[in-house]
Amino acid sequence: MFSALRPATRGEGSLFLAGVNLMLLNFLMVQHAAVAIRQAEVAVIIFSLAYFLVLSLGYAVSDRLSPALLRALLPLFLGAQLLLLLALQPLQYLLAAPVARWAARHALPALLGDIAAGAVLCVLLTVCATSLYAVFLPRLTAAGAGLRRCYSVEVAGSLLGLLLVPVLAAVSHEALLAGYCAVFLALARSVGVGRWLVGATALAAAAYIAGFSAADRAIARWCYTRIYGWEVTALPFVSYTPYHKIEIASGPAQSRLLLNGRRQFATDPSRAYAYYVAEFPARLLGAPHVALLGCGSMSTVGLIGDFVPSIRIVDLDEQVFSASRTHFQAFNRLDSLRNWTFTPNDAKNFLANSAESFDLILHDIPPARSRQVALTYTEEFFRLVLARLSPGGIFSISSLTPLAGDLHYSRRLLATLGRVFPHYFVLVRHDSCYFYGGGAGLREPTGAELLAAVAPGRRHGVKFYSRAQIEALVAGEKIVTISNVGDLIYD
Amino acid sequence: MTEPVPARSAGRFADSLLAFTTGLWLALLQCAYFFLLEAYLTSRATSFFIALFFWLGGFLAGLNLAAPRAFPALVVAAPLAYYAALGGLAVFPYHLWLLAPVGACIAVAGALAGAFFPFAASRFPGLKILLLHENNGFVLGLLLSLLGLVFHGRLLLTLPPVLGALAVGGLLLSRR
Repeated sequence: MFSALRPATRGEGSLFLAGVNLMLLNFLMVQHAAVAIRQAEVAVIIFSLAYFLVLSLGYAVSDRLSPALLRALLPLFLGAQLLLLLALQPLQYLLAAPVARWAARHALPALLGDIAAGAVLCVLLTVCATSLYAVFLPRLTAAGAGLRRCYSVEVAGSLLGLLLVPVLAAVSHEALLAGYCAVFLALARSVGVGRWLVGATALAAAAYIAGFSAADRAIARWCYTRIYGWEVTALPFVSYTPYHKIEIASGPAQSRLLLNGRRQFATDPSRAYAYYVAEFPARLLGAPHVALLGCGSMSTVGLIGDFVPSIRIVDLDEQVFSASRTHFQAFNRLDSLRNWTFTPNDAKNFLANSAESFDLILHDIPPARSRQVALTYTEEFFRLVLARLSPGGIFSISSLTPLAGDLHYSRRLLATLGRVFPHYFVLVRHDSCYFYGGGAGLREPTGAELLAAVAPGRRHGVKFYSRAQIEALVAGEKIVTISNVGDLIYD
Repeated sequence: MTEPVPARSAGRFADSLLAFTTGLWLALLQCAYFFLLEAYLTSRATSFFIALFFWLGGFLAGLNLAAPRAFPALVVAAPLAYYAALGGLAVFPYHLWLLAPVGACIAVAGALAGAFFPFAASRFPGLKILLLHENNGFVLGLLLSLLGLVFHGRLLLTLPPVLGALAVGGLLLSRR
């Protein structure tokens, strides 16, 4: 079957290469747009809309582009696409910042800046990214070629591209870029772009790939200095994975982990978060077997590693774990501890398939700001957690959004948790709240007992809420399920 | 159901509507499958790549189905395959061995997409108009899916496959 799909004519060759190339481009554009927009799903939305809208445009104008114009546009498009990959992040900042400032002056939401920038990026992606690919198929069939045959050749190209993406991405991001450029140049050659022009474009593309890493880091440093106001002295670790662009940004005072350009965890000198989410419940239980869902700096492991018998760390992205292990060693101490294991899996799948029970399950996954992450904040997910808790065990999860006020995030989260866990208590400190829930075997201590269990230096500003108090506080709030994660994300 | 008709009747509103509605349905079906895998199997990237591989493989097979009634038959088969996948994952959630049978169901949906173009091509003066209408429907389906994913997840998982089949099936019947 596959030999029958081998391109037989130059036109079919162009279709096949367009199929391969478009698949590689999709992956690259979504990755870079996710970093620029700092929100993977919004990037997918913007890119998908740009992609499919421009396909319509390409179909509509497919018979109006002369072959000479097509040959002239192709090398230009490669240059535009490669520049856009590097420019998306600073462009987003340069476009969003002035609009956000204008919005602030007029008492409008700052989000307008991001919306304006997103719209401009969408147009740029539309024009530069995919418009030319759509012209090949209608042109060829209009010239008398069979639809089945032509479309099959293009889809076979897409299948090859799909197989190439994980293979090249596993080698390096530059390998993916090189594969993309090579296929693009072959496509240009197949539509009749001159040898010299293709050769010159190939040299420029090679220089781009050779300098990509340095340019990417320099641009990221520039962006983080301006976006977050940090002094970034170096980016000692940068990696593109199918899930994220992972970066460690080092400054004179501290290092930070960034996923898709968004700060995830800073090194926290006081370790307050790690204490309340991990050490406090672990001390209450004595010597619990622990599961840690999600890994940031893993300072939670560093705090409890000496007195708990075992810690199972679960994270979807193995490279996030490796980067944190290396660059936040002073906090997680994984190299000196021997009682931990790492499982590369998503938390849902791990909990559903694990035969183990845990005395303490820690939810250390970033806040629910994207759909994929928000699936770990749903009623369905918490039921999976409850099923893996041993009798008397505790599930510990935090919300760094204020419990009172206009935002519903914390209250909806607590309402959902309260629906699943029959026994629980909640600690509130400043604007953060920490939920400790369990099954029928969990005893709910009194507020005074709980306060006495908090380390003396950590008691300041701490207040405990009973189940009855929380139920009154969250009455009427929406329960978050896989049906309505948007109610948590876009609160 | 229907047979391909000569190009003389091309450009009819009903043909354009069928292309648009099919595109809309395909987008909803594809997004429902992706969400089904993410919510009830695994969020790992491999599952996305495998699902896309099955979709494209099915598309390739559907394009090359010679039977004139292949598309109408797939209008019935694709939602049945989808609900089989949904039922399988509801009964055995998070079991990775289900990826292969669910992949086969995804391939049926891909075949539906692939079979549509040869089926509909003869009704349009040029392929570009057919692609344009189908793709515009796909864009709208994508927008609706993205809203469904965050605000009506269960609705997206349960309703669009059957509603799409009813709409497309109804349009096919109305053209007899």
